Amino acid sequence: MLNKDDAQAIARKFNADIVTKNSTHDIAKIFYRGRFVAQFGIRRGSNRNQGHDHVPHEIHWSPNKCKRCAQCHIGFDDWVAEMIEAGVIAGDNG
Amino acid sequence: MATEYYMDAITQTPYHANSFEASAYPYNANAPIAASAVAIAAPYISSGSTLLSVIQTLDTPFLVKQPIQVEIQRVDDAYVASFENANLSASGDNWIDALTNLKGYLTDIFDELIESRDILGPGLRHDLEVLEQFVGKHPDAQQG
Repeated sequence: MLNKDDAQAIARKFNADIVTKNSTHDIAKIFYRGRFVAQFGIRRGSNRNQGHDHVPHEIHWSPNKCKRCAQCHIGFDDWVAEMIEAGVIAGDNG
Repeated sequence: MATEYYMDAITQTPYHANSFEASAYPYNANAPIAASAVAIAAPYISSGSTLLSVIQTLDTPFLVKQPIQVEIQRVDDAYVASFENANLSASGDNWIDALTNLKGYLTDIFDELIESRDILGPGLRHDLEVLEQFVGKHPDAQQG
């Protein structure tokens, strides 16, 4: 299970901008080359064990890769490469 | 074998995928949520099962242009509600919590994507196009 610490670790590794609005989830905004390319929610509250299993769906990555990213085995560059290939992010020619 | 329950779009009543028998505990996703509703609703999803629900209203000033189908799944001890077509998901401690959180999150994201329309990457541009088919804002609210 991905928890809040995992979600926050991914947000840090992706240099995400955290936006707090009205809902119970803050928005982690991910940018690449000046483009807003993806987002995911981080639940507010003090419970570090809150489930964040919605994150993989929102950033188009498997739960396993999200966990490994949070544990520093893979990072932003790996994610970008996969997203360019998937068409989620425009590459050099986009 | 996973047991699937679905939410009737009209009556907002959960029913079993095989029996199609209406549950004894109807749930209106747009009504205020009582603690007792959470207590009786939680057992409906077992791990690996999916519940379908429909969002038909959002908080003012947002409008639902057409019903938004939501999939709710249990993942370990948490619940994830997803609007698959727009790549939006939110978590909660029970499925009603997850659905309620998604409704709030969806409107926040809608505003964020509208404000950032000119700098969206291809993925989020697609998500916004989908979202705009389902969600709008009351005309009076768009002035400000």
